[in-house]
Amino acid sequence: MSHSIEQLARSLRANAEVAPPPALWLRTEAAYLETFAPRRRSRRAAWMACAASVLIAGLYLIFQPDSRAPDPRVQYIEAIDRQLQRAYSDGSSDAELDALWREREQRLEQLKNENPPQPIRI
Amino acid sequence: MDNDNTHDELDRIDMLRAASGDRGAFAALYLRHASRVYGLCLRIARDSHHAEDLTQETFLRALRAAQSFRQGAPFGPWLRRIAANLAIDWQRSRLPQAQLDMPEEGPAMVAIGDDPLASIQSHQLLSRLPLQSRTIVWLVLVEGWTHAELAVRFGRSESWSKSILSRALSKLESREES
Repeated sequence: MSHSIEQLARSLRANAEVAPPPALWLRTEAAYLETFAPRRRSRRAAWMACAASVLIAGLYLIFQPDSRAPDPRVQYIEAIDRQLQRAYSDGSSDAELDALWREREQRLEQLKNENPPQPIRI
Repeated sequence: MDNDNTHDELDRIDMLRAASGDRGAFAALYLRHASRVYGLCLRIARDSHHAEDLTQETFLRALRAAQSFRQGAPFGPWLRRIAANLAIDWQRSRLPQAQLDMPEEGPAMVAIGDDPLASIQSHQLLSRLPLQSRTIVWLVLVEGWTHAELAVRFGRSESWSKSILSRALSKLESREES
């Protein structure tokens, strides 16, 4: 590197800093806030949503309704009810209707006998 | 050296804090580095407006890449490398080669009318070089880039950047003498 190039390099390095116009900070800061500040807000929102989900899940586990499977005997009676509705809609004979009603009463009676009402203690 | 390490660590911490939304940390980072980044951008950008755009984008890009910054690495050169890469990419994508090679028309071509350095002879000389030559001169003489690095960034050969630098320096020397 010749002497004059060395001088040039020294001069350039010595003056490498230039104060930016003040307006540049304002627009850079605005761009920064637009890009990075919402992220913080959205993170906070995500945390809140996450905490709310955990809370709701916990409450559901504590207060969940009795989720036992439905009794098949009750389901059978409900099926007879649907058959009866269809029979009436289709204009089925009295004999068919009577058979369904008998079946229904028998099943209902059986259910009552197997699960007698419990006395309520006051 | 220890002092430099402390500054770099401070910069790294501020950068991570700024990236997670700390406005004060971002302001501190900008205060410490904006003049050097803007100085670089002015020399290798098309004009002062473009230099401002590049400076702004440099800071935002740095924050986006904050997690990839290696602990213990010098922060300032890393930041200015982002600025230089942005400027080079812009030159390559937007400006036709003819414009990059075109000699500039006197000191006003850098459009740094309010730049006090425009009066300094070396900067006037530099500002008369074509944009690409000026970029290479600045990156080699001031930022310490190697020809291998220039070749990768410009997508050219090392001999290409060596020849540009050599011609640019000859031009500067002859002008200085005259």
